Amino acid sequence: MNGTWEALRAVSETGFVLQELIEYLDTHPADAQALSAYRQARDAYEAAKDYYVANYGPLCAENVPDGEMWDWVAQPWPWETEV
Amino acid sequence: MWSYERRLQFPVKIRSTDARAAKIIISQLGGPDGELAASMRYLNQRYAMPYRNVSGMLTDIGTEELAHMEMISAIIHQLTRDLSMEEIKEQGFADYFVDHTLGIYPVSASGVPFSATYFQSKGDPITDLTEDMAAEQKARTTYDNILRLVDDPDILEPIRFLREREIVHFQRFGEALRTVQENLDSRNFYAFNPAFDTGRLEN
Repeated sequence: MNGTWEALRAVSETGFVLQELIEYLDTHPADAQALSAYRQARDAYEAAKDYYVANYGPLCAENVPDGEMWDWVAQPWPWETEV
Repeated sequence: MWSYERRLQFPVKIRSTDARAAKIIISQLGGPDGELAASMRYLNQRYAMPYRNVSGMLTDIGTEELAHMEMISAIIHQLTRDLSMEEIKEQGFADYFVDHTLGIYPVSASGVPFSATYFQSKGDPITDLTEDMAAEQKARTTYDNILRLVDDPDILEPIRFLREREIVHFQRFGEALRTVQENLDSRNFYAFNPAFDTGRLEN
């Protein structure tokens, strides 16, 4: 379970950097430094998502792995935590 | 079009239930300065915004607000799950419970259901962006007040994150308002609605 948490944390962290850059670029579309940071953040986010999906399960209903069962509804939702 | 990603924008992992805290924090779901109002405000204002970078920003921030709504709902859910009848009565949760049991319903802290009157979409970029800046400050004040009322670190962390987002979005809306003002027709001295009156000035 700890690995899941770490991998999800990496998705959240890279996703947050990307979100922040997207909103900044909306009002600063010609900022070369921000554009380059955007490209790096996007690649880091894609890599973190790919790692999570390959090891722990789908993040989107579009990337449910092939199998006998519909994995999308088999795992906990983000608001559920094991206590 | 939207797609859903199965994660919260910032993690919410609350170990102890607390119905009193839930009743305060629910204002940021269904209250006058909450995340539902924020998202609906920005996503509805996009269409009359004549500057493409500003309507893009309203789309991106309006979408982020949906993720904030999900975080607030996760906090309320985790603060109230598995409450006993004794806890519901002792922690002042009976009035919410009678209508919604432990379901999530958008109300303010005083129990008033969500209303579209909490936001405007005026069809005037200057008016709308000025409202957006005020809305971010009002939400920030609400988070400040929540931080004064709650002391569980599991709750404080995601609330502090949300508070910081209000400050960043206030900054973005300020930049957007400046863009709009810089692009006003030089004959539009009194800043009449640049989304509606511009064409009329040329006649």
